[in-house]
Amino acid sequence: MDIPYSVTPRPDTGLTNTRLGIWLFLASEVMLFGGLFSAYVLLRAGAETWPEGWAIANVPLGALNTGVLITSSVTMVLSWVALKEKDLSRFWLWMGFTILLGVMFLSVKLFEYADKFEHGLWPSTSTYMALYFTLTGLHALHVLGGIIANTYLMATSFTMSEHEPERLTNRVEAAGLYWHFVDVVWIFLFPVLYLL
Amino acid sequence: MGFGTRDSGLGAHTLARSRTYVAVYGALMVATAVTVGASALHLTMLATAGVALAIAATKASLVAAYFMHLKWETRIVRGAVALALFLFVALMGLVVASAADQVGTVL
Repeated sequence: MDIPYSVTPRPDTGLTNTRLGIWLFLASEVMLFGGLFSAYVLLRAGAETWPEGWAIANVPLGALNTGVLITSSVTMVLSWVALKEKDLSRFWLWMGFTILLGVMFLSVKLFEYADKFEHGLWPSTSTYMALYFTLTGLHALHVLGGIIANTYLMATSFTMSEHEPERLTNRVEAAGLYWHFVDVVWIFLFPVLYLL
Repeated sequence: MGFGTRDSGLGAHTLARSRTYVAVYGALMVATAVTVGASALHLTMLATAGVALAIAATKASLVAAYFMHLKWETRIVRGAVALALFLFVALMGLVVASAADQVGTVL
């Protein structure tokens, strides 16, 4: 079943359902992460002692991953620009970079997790570690979801660009909005968990 | 109706936007470096948190405004985002107010 108004804007909202839907989903995601951030503040305020993030977390790797995710946001939006310009090969190039950068982010994250485990740091070790793994783990799952969605869009782009180019462009725009949101979440997670 | 022809009318517009994206990208990378540099100064906890979160909020605004095109979005989308942000700020405000009441806080 096709979603109506996924190509042309719906008259009453002035938006495609795809775009309105992804924005409403992202608004709900704000409260998902908001709940966890508020748990962080409450637990930290109630703790007798609290480690400084930079003493446990790997700041250079966290900063590297911040750069990786910001770069992937640029490549994602450039992949959308390529579709707007009807340049499929450039879309593949930028989307390919986006997927690779997403995989790189997760690889660095896995390396960080392995390093924590090697040093006996588990979610059960302390409240800080529990929050560290919960917040970064949920975020990593979002990155993984974005990689899967982007890979699907890349795989179907050859057919869709022939038959439904505008729908493909709108799908990439929606996936991009999600990807940028994941970037925004990390922009806050990095200082909260690594620097404070 | 494939991608057989290139839309020449869109080219200049998207080129301008692409340059804006690259400029925003540069600003985001510089802001990340400033965040890490400021944390290395080992200021007080509140000062470090204030600087880091202010820079993070600025970076998030840039991503939302330019990469997510919120700057050019319709009122209905801006309204949905504003409502989500209001609820988020209200939640955090209540939590911080509650935490501030606690004795011996490490914040």
